[in-house]
Amino acid sequence: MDSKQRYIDYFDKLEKENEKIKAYRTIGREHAMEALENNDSPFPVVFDDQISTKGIRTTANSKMLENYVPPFDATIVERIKQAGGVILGKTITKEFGVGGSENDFGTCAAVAHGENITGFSKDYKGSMYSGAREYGLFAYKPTYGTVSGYGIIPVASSVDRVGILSKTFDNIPKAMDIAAGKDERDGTTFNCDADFSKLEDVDLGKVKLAVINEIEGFEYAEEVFKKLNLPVDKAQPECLKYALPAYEIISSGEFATNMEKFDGISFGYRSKDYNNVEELYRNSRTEALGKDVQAKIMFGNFVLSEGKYELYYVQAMKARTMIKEEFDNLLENYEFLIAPINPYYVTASDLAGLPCISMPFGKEGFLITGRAFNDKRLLEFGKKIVSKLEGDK
Amino acid sequence: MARNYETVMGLEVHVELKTNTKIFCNCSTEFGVEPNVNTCPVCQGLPGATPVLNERVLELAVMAGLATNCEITRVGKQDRKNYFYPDLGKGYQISQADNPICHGGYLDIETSLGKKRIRINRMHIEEDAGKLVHEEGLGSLVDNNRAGVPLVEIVSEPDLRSAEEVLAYLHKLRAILTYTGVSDARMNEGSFRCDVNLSVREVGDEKLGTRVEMKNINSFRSIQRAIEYETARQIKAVEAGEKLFQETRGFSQDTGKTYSMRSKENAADYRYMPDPDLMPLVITDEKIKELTEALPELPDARKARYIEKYGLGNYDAEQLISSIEVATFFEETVKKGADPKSAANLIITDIFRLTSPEDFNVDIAPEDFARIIEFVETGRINIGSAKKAIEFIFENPERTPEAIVVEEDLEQINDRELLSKMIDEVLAKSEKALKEYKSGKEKALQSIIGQVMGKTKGKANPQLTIDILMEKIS
Repeated sequence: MDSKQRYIDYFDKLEKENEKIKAYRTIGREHAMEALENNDSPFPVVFDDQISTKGIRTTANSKMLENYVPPFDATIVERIKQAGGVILGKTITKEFGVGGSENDFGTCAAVAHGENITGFSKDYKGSMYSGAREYGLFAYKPTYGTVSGYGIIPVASSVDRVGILSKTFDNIPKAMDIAAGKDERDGTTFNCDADFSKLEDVDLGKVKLAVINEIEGFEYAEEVFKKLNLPVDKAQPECLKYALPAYEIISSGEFATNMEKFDGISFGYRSKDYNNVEELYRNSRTEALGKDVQAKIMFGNFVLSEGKYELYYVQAMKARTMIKEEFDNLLENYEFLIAPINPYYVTASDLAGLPCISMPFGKEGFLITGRAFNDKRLLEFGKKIVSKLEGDK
Repeated sequence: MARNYETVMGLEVHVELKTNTKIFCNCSTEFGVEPNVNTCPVCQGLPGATPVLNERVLELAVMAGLATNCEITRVGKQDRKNYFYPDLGKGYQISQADNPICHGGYLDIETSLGKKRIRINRMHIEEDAGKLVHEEGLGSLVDNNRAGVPLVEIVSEPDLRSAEEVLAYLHKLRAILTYTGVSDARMNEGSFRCDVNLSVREVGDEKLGTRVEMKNINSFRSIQRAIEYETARQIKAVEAGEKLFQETRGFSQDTGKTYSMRSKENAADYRYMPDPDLMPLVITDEKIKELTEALPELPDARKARYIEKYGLGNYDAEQLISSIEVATFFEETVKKGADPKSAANLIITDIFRLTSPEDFNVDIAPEDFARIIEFVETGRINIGSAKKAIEFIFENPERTPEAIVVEEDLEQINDRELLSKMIDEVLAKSEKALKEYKSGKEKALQSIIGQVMGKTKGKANPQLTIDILMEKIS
């Protein structure tokens, strides 16, 4: 979309269809029109509603924040805007990333609905990959610490990563080129020297691959690579069985404390029904947070509470270390891992913070995981596979 | 037989670190500005805003630890302490739980009973909370200027046994923090805050009594009063066979009493967890070496120097080093030629009456002060007049010691004949005192000397007066 008229046409269409496709929480026509002024290289983007956008309502799909307008941009929003990105609107997510919604895959719906839109979504438990599979998109999650999390309303800060969604592969390295790199406002980010605007060709003969053959029926992924004449080994990481419980414990603990700021005091929803500050907290939270969100907070507080912390949280963190180590070992032998989109694998790769791309090929799609901080190489490999498989989608 | 009790106390001191910016954002730490001027998404706790540690905080905390003989943690972490309070935007305070930045140190104090070593259990970094302001008609409002101001909490072992020891510890700690530039440590601005954990037990008991925490006492005087009151209250309760409760108590300056704020029996579970937004703290050998080299002369070294070089007593030297301002004033005065012992005496007995050592603000230049001491040394004025001269200069720093001595008529009376005549006059009216003195009451002499002093408006040479008097009555 390169002319103002095409944006106007898109918004006209969107305003009629949004109710049906359930993609946008807030359509940002006015902001988009403003962003098109004096913009030499406009490109359309959407951010999910957990990503703070200055001046545009950011609700996290919750009654708690139904009128919250952030006074600042998330770093990724700031960078995308500076590069010419035009925000079409804020897309529907699960409530605070974990709760109920009209469409768990709002960002995917928006990306699939438009023409050449790049979507940015804070992923939780791989829902982004599932959405991408359903809507036939590419979904990419960079190595933890490569893209700033500043301004992203967190579920679990240590696993949360903003993912990139697109119908075409090339938008992903383009977005990485803009978004990746150290952010002074996020202490967990690192320098990133890779130049994503210049992807090198990959000599497939030199790439060692393994398939995580963990579930039945995943043979279709092997078939895909066989067709490309690429040999694949089989790997079965021991740690996968710990991944989901460890992920649940860690993410719930972090979520519970991340959610404490929603207390009805300085911002967000405040109950009208209270006689003292205790009631203000309780009633505001009870009235404005959905049941799933409340349940996760309660579980999180349980695993952090006195006596339980050592039993659950500390154990989960140990499991996380084991998972990281096993993945490190595996990725010393193999450059890329091919894996199914299922909760065990997704949570394991999230706990390890590894870069991962979801490919909409084969019966159910598959994931390719690369080495930490080798995002560029993963995208190069991905691009090569795509060029070979195009048309097979 | 009456039982003997001892008070067992440990202190938790919160100290604001002297940084230009806050602990996790670039907002200014300036004190006393309009509400919420120094705020941003991070220190307001807005959704998605992440903290990044100000490295200077770590350096200052390590310096405080090095200056108090602590072990320094090499790989540490920061933890979230979760609780709801309206002045806490994020709903948790970023603090340190089980792995504080410094641990296992001590400092030496000096009281009237001599020297004592007080152990420091731990020292950790954390962020301050905001402040609630209660406005008529508007209700309670939050001011986040203070939110995110860096603190260290310094926790002592329960080694303190009296209010005197507590004050000596606080003064020494304050001195160390101000010498090293770690903190301004101003109690009146809240940059040095003290909680006292206090229990009583019978002397000889191994077991500690039920502990009460006294929070937010805002002056050294109040700390002393609170300790005295609380000690008496607990002994009375124990004697009466009442059960004491673990609780947090406040202190009212108006009533001089402590009062219950909340019980500890149903204390909150803070659900500590490592803050996932922050990277591990790493302190290298090089960093420790660099900071050790950057430490200035510490109070104890300075004290030793005063004792050795100037022949001062332990206790006097301790008073002088209690703050960098006092020590600097003392040294400047000595540099201008004053006798160190006289300077020390006058500072401790006199200047401290006019300005407290913890908030030392002298309106007298060291050279003027040295001049007054010189007048005393040469017999031009007596010590009482020296005190008056100091007060005059405090009232009007423009005046010189010379002018004051002349204009206020402070010159000492060293005239033997004149004094002898005055003493005779006093003795003629002091038959009773004289009789008492002769029957062995040494004190009776004081009233006679006092009357001579009164007659001369305090200008009599005291030693000469005593000499003449003794000649006349023995």
